[in-house]
Amino acid sequence: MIEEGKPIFVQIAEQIENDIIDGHLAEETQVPSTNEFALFHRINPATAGKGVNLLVDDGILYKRRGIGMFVASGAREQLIAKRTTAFQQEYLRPLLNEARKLGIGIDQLTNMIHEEAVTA
Amino acid sequence: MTSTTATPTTTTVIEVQSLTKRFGSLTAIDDISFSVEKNKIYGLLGRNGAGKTTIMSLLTGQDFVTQGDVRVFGESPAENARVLQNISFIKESQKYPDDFKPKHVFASAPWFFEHWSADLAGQLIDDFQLPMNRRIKKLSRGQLSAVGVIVGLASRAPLTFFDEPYLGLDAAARQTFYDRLLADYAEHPRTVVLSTHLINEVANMLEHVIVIDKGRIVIDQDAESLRESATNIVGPRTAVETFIARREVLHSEGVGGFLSATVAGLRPDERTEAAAAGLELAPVSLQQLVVRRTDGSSTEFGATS
Amino acid sequence: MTALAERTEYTMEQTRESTARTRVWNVLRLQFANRLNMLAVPWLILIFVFLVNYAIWAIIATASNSTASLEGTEYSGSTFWLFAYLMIAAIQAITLTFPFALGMSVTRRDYYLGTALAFALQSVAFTAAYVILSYIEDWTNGWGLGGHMFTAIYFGQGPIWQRIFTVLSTFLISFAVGLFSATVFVRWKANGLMVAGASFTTVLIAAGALITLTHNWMSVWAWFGSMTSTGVVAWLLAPAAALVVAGFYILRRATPRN
Repeated sequence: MIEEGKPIFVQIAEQIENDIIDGHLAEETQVPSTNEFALFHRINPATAGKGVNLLVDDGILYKRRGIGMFVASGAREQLIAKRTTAFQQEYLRPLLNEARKLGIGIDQLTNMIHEEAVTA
Repeated sequence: MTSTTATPTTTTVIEVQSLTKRFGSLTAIDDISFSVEKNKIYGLLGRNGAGKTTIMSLLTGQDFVTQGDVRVFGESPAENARVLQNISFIKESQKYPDDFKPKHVFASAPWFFEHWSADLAGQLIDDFQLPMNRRIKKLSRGQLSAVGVIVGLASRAPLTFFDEPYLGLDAAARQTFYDRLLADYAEHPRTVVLSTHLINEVANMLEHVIVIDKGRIVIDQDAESLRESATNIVGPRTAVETFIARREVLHSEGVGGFLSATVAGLRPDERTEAAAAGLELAPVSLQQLVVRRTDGSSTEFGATS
Repeated sequence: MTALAERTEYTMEQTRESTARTRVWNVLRLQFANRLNMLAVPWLILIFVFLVNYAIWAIIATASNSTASLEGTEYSGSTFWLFAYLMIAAIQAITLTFPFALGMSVTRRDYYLGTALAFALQSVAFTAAYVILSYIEDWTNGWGLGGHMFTAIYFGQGPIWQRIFTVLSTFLISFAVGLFSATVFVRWKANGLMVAGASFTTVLIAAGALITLTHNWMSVWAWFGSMTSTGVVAWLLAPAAALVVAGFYILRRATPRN
């Protein structure tokens, strides 16, 4: 759940993002309240609020007065685009570093990727 | 919400200036200054005997200042009913009248705490399975702690102090306490000051951290930035040593060919540099940070307000 | 921040400032909550002492077949134990409730006033009972045996105003000593009490020495003799009041240190 490492509010934001990308949180549906996040993860409500506000600032969530926080339209595409860009740095770069370390060439790497894609 | 600088008085509930407390020749609190902002959960951390209880006693008027200034809700708290009726101070060593039973405690608490919630008290009594009709003297340590915890939570005092009141509670009961505290704090915000040495358990609940060591403040920072203020670097000894050569090292320990060093927070580019060098970066838990800072090491980094 | 549930913040501004009267009243209530020691036990002691006395009178009367032999019981001071117990109970009440009251965010001032008031009320209640019992004793001619417990000579006899005054004052003085001793104990613990006791004894000895050296014992006895118990008690009221005032200032700096 909440690990040591990234700031807690970032982890909250990322969990919500994951839920949106997964489809667990559809667009224009309501997101749990800050207090609910706080209680569930056993963290300070202010921290949970910070995570939610991150997403509000990014335009992923928006507030409906008197009701609560909702997933914005287009949030999913927005997130996927963002994650795709990050994918290269977060996943590909370490992958290539490790491959280089082990002496795995690009061709061999491509073959391995194809293999995995078939069996996955 | 992450400012560490003092904010204007309207949001500050406690202001301490140059506070000193001496017991005879022993200086328990040595010229400390800090402020506590409204509606945040503060952790007052430190080793046993560091001065946590003394500070809380001074803030609640239960003990008297030797030197310096304490303002709670803008006024001196000692013998000040207007301030005190907004404060609840729960401590482990709280004494109860001999022939009192929990039911007497909970019957009399509402007289003194205007915002007392009988509903919340009832729920907590169930949670902790507290026998209402047994003499306080005959309660187990855990049950006695539960009495204090229930008074502290149900009083809903605008300023609530908990001085390690859960020492007698087992891990499950402690978790209940944390959960109920968070839940009620979320619904009814108030300023909470929690002292503990079980830092890991409360680390995620704290918004601001004050660490006391030998009567002095060594950390006064919001929890988030404190967590980011240090990183553990782990890897082959030589690689680690190269990397940390130009940096301030808070702590290092090694076994065999491996070394783990704690350094000040790294910038993103520095993190990439470390990763490229084959080093593993691990977070430093709040507990580790506090322990490292209070074990006699005088290395200071991270902002103090 | 979103929260669908009601978020109510209880601020300092919202807390209605309670009046001194309410606060002192609350301390009073605290003193009476479940205080068996203060309320029930004194009566139990009274009943016990009375039964003991009654048994003794009965035995003597039966043995000598007349109540005339009970002459002299009017010097019974057995109610002394009641006053002594109340003094101790006062000390207990305070040492037990003071740390608790502080934990309930009560100021020492409110605590002292509430506690003193509680003691005063009890004095009045006990006085009423005592005086009534003294009249019953009169009307039953010493409980049918000519015994004197509530109408001991020098104490409890005489017109109603005298009975009330003497008895009430004695209760108040007992509580005052208890109150004072308790504050000394709470502030300075056992050492404090010993010092206070030793000081008091020293003063008495010094006074005694002074009287002896100036060969004034005769005048002292004469003076005591001329005073009724009412007079003695009246004289003691002033020092008792002083003790009560002193207790307030002593408690002001007391802390709940264990």
